Amino acid sequence: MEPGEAQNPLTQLRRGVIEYCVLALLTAEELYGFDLVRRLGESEGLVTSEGTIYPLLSRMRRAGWVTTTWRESESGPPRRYYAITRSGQHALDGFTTEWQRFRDSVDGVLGTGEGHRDGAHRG
Amino acid sequence: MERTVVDPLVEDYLRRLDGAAYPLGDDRRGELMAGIREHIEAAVESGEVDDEASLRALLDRLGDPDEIVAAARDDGSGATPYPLGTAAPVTYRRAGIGLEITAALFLTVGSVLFVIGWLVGVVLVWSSRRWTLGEKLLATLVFPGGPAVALVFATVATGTTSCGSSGVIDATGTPVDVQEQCVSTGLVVPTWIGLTLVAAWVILPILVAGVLVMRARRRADTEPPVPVVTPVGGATRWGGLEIAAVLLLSVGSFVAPLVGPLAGLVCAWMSPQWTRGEKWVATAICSLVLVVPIVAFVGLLSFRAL
Repeated sequence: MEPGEAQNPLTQLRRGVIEYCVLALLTAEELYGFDLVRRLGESEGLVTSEGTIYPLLSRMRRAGWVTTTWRESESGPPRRYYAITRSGQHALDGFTTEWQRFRDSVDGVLGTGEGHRDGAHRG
Repeated sequence: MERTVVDPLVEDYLRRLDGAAYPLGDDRRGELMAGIREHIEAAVESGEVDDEASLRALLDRLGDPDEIVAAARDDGSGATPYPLGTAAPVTYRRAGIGLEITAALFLTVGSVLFVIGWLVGVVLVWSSRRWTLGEKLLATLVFPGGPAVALVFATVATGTTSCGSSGVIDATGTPVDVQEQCVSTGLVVPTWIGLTLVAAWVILPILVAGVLVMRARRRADTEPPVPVVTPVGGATRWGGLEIAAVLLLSVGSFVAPLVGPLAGLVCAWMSPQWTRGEKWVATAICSLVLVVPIVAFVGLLSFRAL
């Protein structure tokens, strides 16, 4: 297998989970695009092309998972702030449960689960 | 204060993105361009970008325009791969205003089912989330009972007004000094006031209903399209439950009076495909189907009693 192909499953996985990461960030506070992208960027390996977050946000808005409001900024043009909706919260809750199960299963098979590491979960 | 970052690098990047985003259509392309532009401006404001190298780094992190557009093209078509085997492709449809249209119909046309039709309309109006409190009050107060009340009023008014001529008849039997006189025995209201009132009672509710429906349509258009879960295999929004609901609601009363429509209502509310608004519409239809025979029956009884 080519090294480039080996990256593919992670790209797919990233694409699938990133919207839930966005939802999770929005549960704490409303954020505007740039801020949101920066927060996601703080977690290593989560976002490769920051620009792809914008189509994602647009899709989430159309799906009713987030709402947007324009707000004045201290300097410069108004910004579009994103807030999570009830149905977004619903989607996030469902995903969180499934993700934990999925992650544990993969960790278990790969032998990288809690039993193999120090097991201390932060957060 | 509007400020845009003018830099050949940024301009070139945005031009390439705009070109690549053309297939997305005007709305989505505009939204994408606005988002990316805002991102670049926010980066400049934050002080993160202050020279060419940092600007290049920013554009690099944003990614290749083709890649961004590819991410945008993934969605809406139902082709988005869902993670972790939840495998339900989602498509979107424009938010409907079935509830609002039904409410308007009940408030106006439905008012011929005296009081009940109008009351159903009021309940529907207040269950909509697309109208403001003021608009709901307007719909309720202009006018109680709906246009049909005007018909009753008109009937009562004409029934109690009698016109006649009075005058003096001379020796040859020819009327002299004839005067038209109208005598109202019931409601003593001058004709012009009565007519204005009747006209207002008919026209204003229809006008209000029309305006409110248009407003609801405009608001619904700003809402995100409604995701429609399409089960794998391409089933439509018409499953067995939905078809049963429609059949029971329409012809159920012929088969089993009362029980048929009620069963249809239960089916409608159990439907996973229909929205809440659509379920309320089904409820309104059900109440109508239940009420019409009762009203007809009572009407028939009272008619025979006369």
